[in-house]
Amino acid sequence: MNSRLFAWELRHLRSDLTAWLLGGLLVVMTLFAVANGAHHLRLQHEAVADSLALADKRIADAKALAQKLDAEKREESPSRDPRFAQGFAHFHLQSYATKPPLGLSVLTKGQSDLYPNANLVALSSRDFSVRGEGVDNPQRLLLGHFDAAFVVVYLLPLLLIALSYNVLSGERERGTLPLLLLQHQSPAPLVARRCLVAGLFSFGLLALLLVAGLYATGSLASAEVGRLVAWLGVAFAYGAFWLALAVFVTSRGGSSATNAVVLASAWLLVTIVAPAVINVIAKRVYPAPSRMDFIVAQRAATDEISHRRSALLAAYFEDHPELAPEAAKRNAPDPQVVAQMSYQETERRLAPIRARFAEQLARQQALIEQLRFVSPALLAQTAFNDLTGTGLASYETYRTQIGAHHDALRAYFQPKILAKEKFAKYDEVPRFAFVDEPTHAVLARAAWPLGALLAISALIVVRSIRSLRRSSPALA
Amino acid sequence: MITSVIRHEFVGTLRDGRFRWAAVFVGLLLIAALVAGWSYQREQAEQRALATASEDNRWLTQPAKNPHSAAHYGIWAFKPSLATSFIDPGVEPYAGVAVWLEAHRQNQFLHKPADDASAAQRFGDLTAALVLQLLVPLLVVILAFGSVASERERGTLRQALACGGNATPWMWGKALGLAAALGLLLLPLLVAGGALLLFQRDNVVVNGAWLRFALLIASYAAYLGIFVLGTLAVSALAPSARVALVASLGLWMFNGLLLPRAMAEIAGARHPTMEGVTFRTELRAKLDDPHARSPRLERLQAEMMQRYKVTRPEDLPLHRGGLNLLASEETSDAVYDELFGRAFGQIEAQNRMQRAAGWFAPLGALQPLSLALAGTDFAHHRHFITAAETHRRLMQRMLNTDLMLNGPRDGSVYLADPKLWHSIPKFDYRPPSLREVLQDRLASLAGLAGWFAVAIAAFLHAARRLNPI
Repeated sequence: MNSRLFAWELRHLRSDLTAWLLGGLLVVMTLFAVANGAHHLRLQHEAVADSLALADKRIADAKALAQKLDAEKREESPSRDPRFAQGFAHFHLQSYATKPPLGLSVLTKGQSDLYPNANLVALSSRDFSVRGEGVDNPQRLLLGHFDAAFVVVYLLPLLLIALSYNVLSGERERGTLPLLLLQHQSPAPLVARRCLVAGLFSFGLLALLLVAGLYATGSLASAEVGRLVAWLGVAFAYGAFWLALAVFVTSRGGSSATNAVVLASAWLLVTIVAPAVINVIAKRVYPAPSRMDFIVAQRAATDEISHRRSALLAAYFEDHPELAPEAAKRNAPDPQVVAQMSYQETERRLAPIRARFAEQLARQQALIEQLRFVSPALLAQTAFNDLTGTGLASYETYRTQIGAHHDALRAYFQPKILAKEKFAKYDEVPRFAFVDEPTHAVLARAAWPLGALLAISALIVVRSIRSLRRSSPALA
Repeated sequence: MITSVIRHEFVGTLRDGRFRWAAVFVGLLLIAALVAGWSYQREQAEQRALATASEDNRWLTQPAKNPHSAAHYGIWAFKPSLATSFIDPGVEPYAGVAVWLEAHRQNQFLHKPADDASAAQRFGDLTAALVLQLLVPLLVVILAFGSVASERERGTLRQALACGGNATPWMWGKALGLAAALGLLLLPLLVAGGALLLFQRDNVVVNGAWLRFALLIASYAAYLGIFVLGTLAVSALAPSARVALVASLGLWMFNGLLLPRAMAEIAGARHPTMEGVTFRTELRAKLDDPHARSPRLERLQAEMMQRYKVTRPEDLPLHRGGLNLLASEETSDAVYDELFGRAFGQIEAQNRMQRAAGWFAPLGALQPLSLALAGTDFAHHRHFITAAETHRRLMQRMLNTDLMLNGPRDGSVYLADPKLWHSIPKFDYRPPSLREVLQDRLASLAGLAGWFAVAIAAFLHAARRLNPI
């Protein structure tokens, strides 16, 4: 491309008051978004640190109490005595599963406001282990967040549209297009140049602000380069899609007002209507099973166990003869044994129901994974969530690991509780350590939306250039 | 003059290709949103009815058992929807549907539908509220931005006003003609919404539903009226159709996109909610405080000693465990009131600040009103939480009192007669009345009316200053 013409376009942009206004707006909104992201990240870090500190404090307190009880030769109820596995595990222990947030999540809150990053793992219930404890504001969750991903997905396209909707029509309406076309047969190079300048201006400014924002909030050092580059790559590809669409609309030869209307409608369709429709379709095709049914099933299982307690206990003792009470105490079995039997039986009954839930949700998710290619906005958002560790996949990994930790804790304590063992190995209690997905797996997943966005953009550009070449005399 | 302008504008809009396409598109979306919302609501209502019946049955068919065992067994309460909630489901996906009412604990709501949701959920559901709050206003902008400006550019404005008449009736004609065309487009909402409301009688709260529906329609009509008048005013004041379009789109974006999220973030930072770990730690510390229970136990004991005319606690003809449980529940109730009161207070503070958006844009006034009328805002959710908790406390009090009065004092096993389960009233939830709701949302109502007045003033100002050249 002729560098002099390119420099001229830059000068043209510089003299445009709208570009300055829009640039200023982008600066304000991006900085606001990064500040929000940083605030949210700080709160998440605090939640993780507070829960780990609390877990440590509980162990230290239990140790101190055990020493005190030993020194004073005092007896305590086994259900509260830290010197017994039962007392320690059920009363003193607070094992937290935490998911340390990634520094890059300054850019995308994703689903992280919906799912907590610190969960208290309950020994008695798998379901209680994955629920949050805080009191959230549902109205705030409903409105969504104002983070850098929001700026890119919703606002960047509007900025690009505002800068490019009249690149050709504006000149034609002012009567200057024939003059500009004196050097070329077709308006294609002019449109390409202007859109490129608009794109470089917007994206360059955005990327600069984001990197500066990450630096200023201290998150740049901890951000993985691969993820950051991929994030910016997706933002670029998404911006390219909107510029390509602007070029396409321009190539149809409409007036400035028509172009603006068409592009605004396209924006509405892509960012608001399509995701909402996809959401409805996925929910209708694979509706999430009713949680109320789950409650009913859970209650039925509990009732059944309590009604058939003697029979179930007898069966349990056949499997675990070492735990069977003496004949004289048959009518008053050890409550811990009853609890263990009830837990196992409840788990056995709920496992298929949980599996049905998981399968249905996986089907719904798979459908959305396919349908998201219909909406570039959804495509970009899911990639942003993935890359910043705030997407469903990351939280699903976390939830699976919470379940495994719950099992590990039970496997560690339950035999000791049933054997009524004394306990002193406070530092050997299994601890939770979140193992994140490998970065290459995340990058491989993000490559699909990135590739798709670039491919769609390229297709639109090719089509537009062909159209611009064909209809150049009419346009002029 | 005005009638012919209305007719001309109305027919012109109907003939406009943009309107036809958009009308079909928006109409279909609106109907799809209404039907999807309605069918989801119906399914939820059916599931809730089944689950509630199953819980009631479970509670009533308990065998003879110790009242405290029954208290621990508890009962699940399921939140009902208001019949109008299918128009604006609001916080329902984020607020949870069920709470377990058991001894000692005020449990939190479990099973938010959003827990099972994908990233698409955060883009919002396709709801009638979304269509009316965002899509239809954009349609108004697209249809009306050139209404005056283009006529001026084509020179037809000069002809229209050539007879020397006042521009105001001409502008009113434009506004009413456009409003009539929009009315035609929104007819499905009225007919389909009304019909769905008519068929949605089972397992949802129908009290005051028609009045709520009528007020919803009136609020949305006012909101869209603001857009019609505002866009025409911008179109008349702007030097060109292009400027009118860019300005109207900018205002639309600020109203629907930027302001709600920005205010939510500012409100969240200004009034942070209590972090989960802090909440739990504080709760546990207060519940485990050994000094908190004694004064209550002493007071209760003194009351009983006075009632039974004895001077020593050990002479009370009561079951000690029951008395202790009564005191213990009273103590924990106070702790829950304090902590949940504080947490909900923070949420209310956030929402109050969020509602201040009504001073800056019409959607800020409409949104809280729409949620309140549909019965899907946080205030309604909190109302249910409070009602369920009141019921839990009533259950606990009745069960503990029975244990205190009838429990044997010799330490032998006590099993209450199943009649006791029947004596506890059924949890019958009544949502807040429309009057209470409106009293709470007076500011939003005033805000919407204020914006309507501002739109009329801007419209009249633009009409007076209308320059045909």
